[in-house]
Amino acid sequence: MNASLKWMRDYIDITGEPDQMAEILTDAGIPVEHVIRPGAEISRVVTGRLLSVEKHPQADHLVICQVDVGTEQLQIVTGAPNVRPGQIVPVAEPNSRLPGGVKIKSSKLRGVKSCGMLCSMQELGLDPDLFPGAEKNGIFILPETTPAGIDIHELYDLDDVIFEFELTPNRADCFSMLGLAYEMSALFGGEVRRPSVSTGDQGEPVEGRARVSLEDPRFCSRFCARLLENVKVGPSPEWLTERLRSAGIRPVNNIVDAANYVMIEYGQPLHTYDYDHVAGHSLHCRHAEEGEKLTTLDGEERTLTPADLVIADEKGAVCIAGVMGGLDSEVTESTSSVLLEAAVFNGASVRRTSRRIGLRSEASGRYERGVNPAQTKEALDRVCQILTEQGACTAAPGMLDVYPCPAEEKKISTSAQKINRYIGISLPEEEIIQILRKLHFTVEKNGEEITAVVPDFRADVSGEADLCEEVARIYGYENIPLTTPYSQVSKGVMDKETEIMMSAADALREDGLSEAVTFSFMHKDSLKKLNYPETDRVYQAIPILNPISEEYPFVRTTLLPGLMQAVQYNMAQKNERIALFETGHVFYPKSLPITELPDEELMIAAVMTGPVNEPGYPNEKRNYDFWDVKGMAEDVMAALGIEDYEIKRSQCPVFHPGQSASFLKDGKILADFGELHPAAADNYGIHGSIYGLVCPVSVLKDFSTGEIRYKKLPKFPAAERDLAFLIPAGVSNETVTDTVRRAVGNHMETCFLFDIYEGEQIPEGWKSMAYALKFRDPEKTLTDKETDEWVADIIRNVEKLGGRLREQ
Amino acid sequence: MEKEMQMLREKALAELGQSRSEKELQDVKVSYLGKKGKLTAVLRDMKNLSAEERPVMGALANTVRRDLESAIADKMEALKKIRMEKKLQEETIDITLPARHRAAGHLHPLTKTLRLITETFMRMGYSIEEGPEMESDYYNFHCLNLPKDHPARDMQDSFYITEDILLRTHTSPVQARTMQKHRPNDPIRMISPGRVFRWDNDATHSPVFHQVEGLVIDKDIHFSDLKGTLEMFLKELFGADTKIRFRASYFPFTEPSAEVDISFSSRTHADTKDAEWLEILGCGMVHPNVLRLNRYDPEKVNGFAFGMGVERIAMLLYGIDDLRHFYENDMRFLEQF
Repeated sequence: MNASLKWMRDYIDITGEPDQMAEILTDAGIPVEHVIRPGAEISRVVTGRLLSVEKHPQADHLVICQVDVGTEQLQIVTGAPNVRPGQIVPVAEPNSRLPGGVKIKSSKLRGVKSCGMLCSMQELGLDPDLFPGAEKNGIFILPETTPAGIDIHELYDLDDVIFEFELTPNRADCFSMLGLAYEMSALFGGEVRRPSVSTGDQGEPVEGRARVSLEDPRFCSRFCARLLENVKVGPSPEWLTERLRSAGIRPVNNIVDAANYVMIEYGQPLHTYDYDHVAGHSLHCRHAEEGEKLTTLDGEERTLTPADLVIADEKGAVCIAGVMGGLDSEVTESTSSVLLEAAVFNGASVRRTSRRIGLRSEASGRYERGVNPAQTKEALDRVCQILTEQGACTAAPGMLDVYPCPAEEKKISTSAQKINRYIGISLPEEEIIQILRKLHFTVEKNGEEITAVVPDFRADVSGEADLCEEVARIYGYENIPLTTPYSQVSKGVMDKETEIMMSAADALREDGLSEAVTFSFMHKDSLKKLNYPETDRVYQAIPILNPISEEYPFVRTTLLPGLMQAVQYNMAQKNERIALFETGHVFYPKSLPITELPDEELMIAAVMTGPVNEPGYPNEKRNYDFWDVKGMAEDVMAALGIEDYEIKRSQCPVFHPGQSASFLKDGKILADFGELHPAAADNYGIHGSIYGLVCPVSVLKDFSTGEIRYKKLPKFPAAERDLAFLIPAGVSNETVTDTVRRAVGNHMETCFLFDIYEGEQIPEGWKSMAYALKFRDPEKTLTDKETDEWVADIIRNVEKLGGRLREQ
Repeated sequence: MEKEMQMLREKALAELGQSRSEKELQDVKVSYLGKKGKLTAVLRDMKNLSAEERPVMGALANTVRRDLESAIADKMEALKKIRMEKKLQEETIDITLPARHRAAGHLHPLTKTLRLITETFMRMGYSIEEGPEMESDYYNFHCLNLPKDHPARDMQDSFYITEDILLRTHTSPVQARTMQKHRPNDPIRMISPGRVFRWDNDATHSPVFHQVEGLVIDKDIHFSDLKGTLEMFLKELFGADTKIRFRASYFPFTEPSAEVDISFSSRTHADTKDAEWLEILGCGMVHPNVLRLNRYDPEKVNGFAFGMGVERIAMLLYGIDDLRHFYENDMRFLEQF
């Protein structure tokens, strides 16, 4: 909503400084987005009459104009093709200024002196769309009747100040000049002057010559109409078109302009019909029939549904209620009688229809927010007044009005104490009452109780909380003190999944991974690229009805596509070390298409490729490998206090089957990790290996103890032995260490592999595995004899595996 | 004999003075003071002296011995010092060579910001509540006083899954879920961080972004409590010199509603002018309808709610100038936090 302050002065005296007023309005919840001063940057631009237009001797595309600007005659060279002698045009005189900081000076153009510039609309900051009939290209040609030598500020009200409001949807009242005037009167003082509406009616009364009716008052609460006769369709007077332009509305003709003017003034949309093209002179508001058709003003044939509200004559729909009129009943130059409608339609219904059709207008926007039925008749009379005063028509006496269930007066009871407590202030009762009265509430007092009658234009106020807001915002939010809430709750808690996610994130961060945040959307192509077979559960993805782009038609079932996209982005940036993790939800439907909310699973995933360290001296050059990602998986388990899990080869198809693993506990997968399948790496154009890790938080949660339990430090020394074995190539490290541990039992403190070797000196099909063993008894110092016996047992057991001790 | 000893002393001092290494010096020491050393030999000859001479010569011999020992010790110290200096000299490195860094990982700036926010509120006794990212119309709109066809729904363009299921457009449905989870009128003090989704994608809007919702319900909560709480929070986050402004606004789920702007100099890295106000969050007193819709009685309890955009706050905290950086996941960006 744009409001001209000059226009506003019709209704209220404004004395304040516009920027300050805008700030006060904004703080009070009536946000002024911009304070527009259309002429602020323009100086010394006047109207001029073109006396002659001659060709430039040196340039084909230039002409030399002699211009009478009232006080003198100027020679101006222009390149515009649309200038002719006799025209009135805007002239920027020498040393003038134009919007955008442009300064105009006398100069020579191809050897010919040019004293100033002829201006286009754009150069003056005017919107050509608001000047119907004017040429959009070239110099702005003014009406012939315009005298020469008038400052452009005067001609187009450029000294006006326009408030561009960014109103919240609840304040339907402020979508009108009068509504804003009431708000300003509350904030800045001053009485509101409503227009004094009177119509000099003539001719036969409307009753009996036209009819209005409605089907359902829930969808059309009030339907009024008046009849205009002896209509002379033509242009509106300049003062009116100027005001429409200030509100950003394009002038059309006197009839339509008057209706639009009153819509801006009262907030009541109106519609005009050619009386002679309304069958039976009857207008009925009803729902459309299935498949009913109507060609609207824009020439489009619309097919309607029973959800759409229409106005119909005896033959069929003539208007989509509150959205757009029909072409057949449009007021044209040949119209002699007009049926003028002012109605109140259901906002939700208008909203649905206008969205469905894709037509949103000043009228539909106002209906959506809510139109005040108490003003409907006055608005209708106001249009008649404006038009009859112009001599554009006569108004037939009387008004058709169907208003089956008049709105009831809203009364809200409260007390000063309640309002003060709610806000946390202690205003005297009189002051509260005064604020409400300023806002045009009628206030009665009965002991402690205050009863406020809500003004009819404030549909948004319905309860005590609303009254509190009114008092608070007029009193000023900045004047409300700062306090802290009393609360019976004293301790903040966090749920376990969040805690796990944070611990896991910290563990991965400590392992050198950085956290990514990717969109929750994906394309199924990326699942294929990741090597998932089409039978995999990840394809059970939920489609989005209105995806943001073709790239993202589904919500994600895995974090990997997003992470892989991030890897690709980093590769394109030539980042060598790429090490990312993400924590986030994936979505699995209970059934497809979905009928209830899906399962949301919190996942942790990581990908890494390239060097482990930053390149360059003195860092070790080494690329990520399986052992890195395995270490990270173990670190996550350790951070969550998960112990005693087993390791198996991973069944997850995104991984290299020979270089991936799962950690499992009670048969549930805690983590899948390893090298991504080379086919997947290929599909993403990754040279070299890329490693990944995936953990479902729901499983981690079940096994996480989150506990740290202290183990006593040993009192007696350990015995240490290093043993190197020759082991058949197919026997795993886990098998060997289990064998070693079993041979010793509880006295085996640690047994770790410190070297593995295949190649020279080792027979084909064998590997050398060297273990550092630590034996300890918590109660005594071990003797060499005891340790030697265990070592002998170990060797015997390893031999049963097919291995043997390596000669030292 | 006295003369002999003096000569021995001079000779020894000259020899040890010429020693170039600790080993040479040790050899000199042994050659004079060792079991077979020259001074030892002289002392051994003392038994041949007369009873009068013996104490005199004995004292002299001890003096010489002490002199030599002390000279050797001094020389040894000096040689050690030279050796150490040489070693230090040899081991001197170019300290301008690049350092070795453990390739550390970094939390995403949004996570860091979220943690700052949640920690601040947890200290004030707020619990963390979670809600689903895919929501029903019922929780996302209906329970928040936003019935179907409410014009305020236009403020949020939604991603629809079905007519009644959508990706949540704000974290506010967690308000409704939390109230419904509690016994009616039980006190609540919670925040809910999370992902939200709006159909919007340009330089200043991302279709996926993050919010933190807050809700306090109890007996006798005032609008001034909301002001005090948010003022405390914002000053904690942005610094004590932060200026805070509350403007009247409209949200369907609060009444009165406010928008909060901040202005600060110490923590912004952006080249913002002093008095520039930046919109930072929306808030208000929980609308009585929202309480009723979620089985709370506005006659018995009331409360306040607030919601803030995490991206916006992170941008202000770290001086990030482009929203898109958050979702590109460029290592060079992530490694700065």
